[in-house]
Amino acid sequence: MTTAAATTTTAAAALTARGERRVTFAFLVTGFAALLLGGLLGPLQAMNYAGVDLYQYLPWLRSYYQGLTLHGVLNALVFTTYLNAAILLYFPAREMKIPMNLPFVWTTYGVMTGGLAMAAVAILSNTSNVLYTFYPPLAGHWGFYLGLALVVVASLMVAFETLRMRATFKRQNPDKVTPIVTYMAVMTQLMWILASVGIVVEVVVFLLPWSLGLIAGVDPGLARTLFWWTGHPIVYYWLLPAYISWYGFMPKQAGGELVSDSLTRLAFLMFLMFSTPVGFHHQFTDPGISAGWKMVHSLLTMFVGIPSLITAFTVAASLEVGGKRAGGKGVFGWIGKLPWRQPAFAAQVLAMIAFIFGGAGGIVNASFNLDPLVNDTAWIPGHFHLTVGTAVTLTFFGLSFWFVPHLTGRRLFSPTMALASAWTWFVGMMVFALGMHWQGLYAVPRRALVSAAPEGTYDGIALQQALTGVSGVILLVALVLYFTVLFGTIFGGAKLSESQRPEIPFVETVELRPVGVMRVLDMVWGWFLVAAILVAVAYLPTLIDMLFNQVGIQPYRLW
Amino acid sequence: MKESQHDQIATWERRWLAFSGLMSLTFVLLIAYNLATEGAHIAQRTTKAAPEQILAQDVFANPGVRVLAPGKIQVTTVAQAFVFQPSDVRVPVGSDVEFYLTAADVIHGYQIENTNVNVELIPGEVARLNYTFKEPGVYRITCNEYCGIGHHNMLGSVTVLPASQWNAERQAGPGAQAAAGEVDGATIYTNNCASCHQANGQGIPGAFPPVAGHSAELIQTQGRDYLPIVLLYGLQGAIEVEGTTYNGVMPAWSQLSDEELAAVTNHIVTEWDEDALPDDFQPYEPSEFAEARGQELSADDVLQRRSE
Repeated sequence: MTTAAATTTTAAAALTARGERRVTFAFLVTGFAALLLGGLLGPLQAMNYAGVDLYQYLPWLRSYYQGLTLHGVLNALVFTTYLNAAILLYFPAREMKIPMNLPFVWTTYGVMTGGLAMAAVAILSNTSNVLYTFYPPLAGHWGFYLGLALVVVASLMVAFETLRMRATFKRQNPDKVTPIVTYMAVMTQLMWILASVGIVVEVVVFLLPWSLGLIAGVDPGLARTLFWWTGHPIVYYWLLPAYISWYGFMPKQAGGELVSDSLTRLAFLMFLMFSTPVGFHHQFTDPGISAGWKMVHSLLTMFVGIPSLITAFTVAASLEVGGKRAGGKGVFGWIGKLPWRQPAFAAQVLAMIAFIFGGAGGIVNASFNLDPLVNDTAWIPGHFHLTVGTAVTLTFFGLSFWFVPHLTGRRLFSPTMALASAWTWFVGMMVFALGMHWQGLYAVPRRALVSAAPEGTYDGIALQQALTGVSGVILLVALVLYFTVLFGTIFGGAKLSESQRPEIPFVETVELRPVGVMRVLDMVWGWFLVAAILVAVAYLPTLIDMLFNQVGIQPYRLW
Repeated sequence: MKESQHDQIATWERRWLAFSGLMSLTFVLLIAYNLATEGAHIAQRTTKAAPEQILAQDVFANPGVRVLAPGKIQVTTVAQAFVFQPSDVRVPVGSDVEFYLTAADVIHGYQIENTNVNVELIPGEVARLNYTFKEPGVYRITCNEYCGIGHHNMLGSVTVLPASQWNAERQAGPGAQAAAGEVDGATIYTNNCASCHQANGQGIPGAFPPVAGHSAELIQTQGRDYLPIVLLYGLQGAIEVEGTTYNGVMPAWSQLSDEELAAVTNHIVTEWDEDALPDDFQPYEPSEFAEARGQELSADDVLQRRSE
């Protein structure tokens, strides 16, 4: 392709992408707004685990548990779902040069935001303090369930659109395999379609009619099992868009290339297979599930660690190629040559480092015999603030440092402050995780107003409590820095001309496998079927037994 | 990228894959080995039935510590918002303790610190788990599953005693401990009522009505026999107190003795409402609760009775 032709294509693409940019920006900004609100409550939670109850001074929140419900729903469910919509639609569209169905995508945005508004009203009215796991028979307002159901429906509409664009591409290019970033997005969406079945059935068939008084009782054990059908893979639904950035963009940002196209695809294939049939590892302490099936899920959980280990290798090797090209020598010399001054890059490397610790802790949680010591203790929030709270969130920070300028055509506001926000977030979360994991070993329960427990209940853990409290302050600083950069860019960033606008750093890949292997990997619906069968085998024996032996429990409101 | 660099990476890639697979396999084998040699402390369900049926079983109607056989102890506990019944249990060191646990209302957690005892208590299910305490001491029990506004106050303890001391206590008889402490209404209130109705009796708006400034009025408007049935059978459904609607759930407290129920009721009506009581008010007697036990009402019946 000649330079002139390339320029024309880019310009044409940029022109047609305006509508896509706008809707993507809407998803992105709404997601970050949710993070801002939810994140501001975070330090209050941390202070609670330092033994200080600040909630009593907040007139607009009735209790710690209301604040915690808001924190969990906004950060874990809303922020991630909106960012995923942005990532899983925009990048495949640009990579394949297939236009989005814009009216449909805007409708999706409307459904998602309508759902968010309903759930938010329900929580703010103090009628739905059920936390983001909403285990029955604690019962929230029906608006809470309907709102969450709409958010999930909208996320499935996003999945539909990603798959439609890929199908259009395949129709136009029958000889080509799916491009790498699109492949990762498609696998993520297929995984989510399979994973979301549990929560859709739980909410639509059971909780929503129950909260409306149409059915008298819900079986809590069955509801928990359906919840965790979705509840574990949802963490991969949060994580895989971050992986897309690590595989798809970071090697380019580091001046390298993706060292193995096929291994990348294999990793995502394994996530499709093994993300979902592992939910019982959240229910090791549930009496109603047999030990044998818990062991099966424990085993499968160990397998789902493998694609993350593959990721560690492939991404690190890809960065090494970049570091060596920049003149780095020796086994470790290339690390210093990486673009550490670039906030978009540094944030994501810090995210990866946090994920190593998160993954190691996850192995403990997944181990059938170790989990009873830490289940439902402070260890657990310590764990997932490393995974979703740091690995995913910090990657989204890093992404936003180039993506928001790309979408808005405005220069990043203060790269130095952006870099500082990433480092402070990283340090704050590492300290938080240390304090919380450690408190968990002393059997301090998770999500409890421990600061108001009777005097002397939790003695001898002053150091651990202090670590958690200090981390809350550090994270508040990080949050302020980050949102100054984000809003500074959106509202005050210098205008960029069309040619100055950062391009999407799509990675160049190296194919290590023959084309036949690539075609087999590309049979995504076939793999979806295999994954569905695996989920059926792992879940149906237990679920059928539960469905036929239900004990309905009435709704309770205990707050 | 150069061909040689390519091959080099491919070689390391295969090694890393093999290492990853072997590491995961090692973890699985270690878990299996541990389960085979140490045994699992995994809760298993023994019964699934409506909570009312489970709570009617003798072991849960009168929860506590029983000796099943020499060296084999059974501890039964009912979790309800926001207490364990009983909250403090005493067991001998070295015995096989069989925990038999259930929840009366919502899901609760049951974790004993420094042990593998960690069970999700689900209403409608009975969980069984065996554990042997190796060291004497006092172990904290926490509810580690969110169960409502008083969740953090839901605590208990296991006191593990040397076998000789434990046996001596048992032989002194079950009355010995109760006799040691007089039945004290204020203590019962703190342990059982305060997590909802609060230490100052003011309750929580929207969920749990105040008892302060309200209980004496109830005696006047609903009759003297109303409070005993609320305590024994609970109350469920929306009620209005001083212009505010309350939609929480009052659990039944029938597992408390008649003496304890009388003491706590007298505490509530005199602590905050002494002045509002009728001049001829006589403190509640345990016999009034004994009589009320015969009625077999539901929480819904109590609500109907209130509306009349």
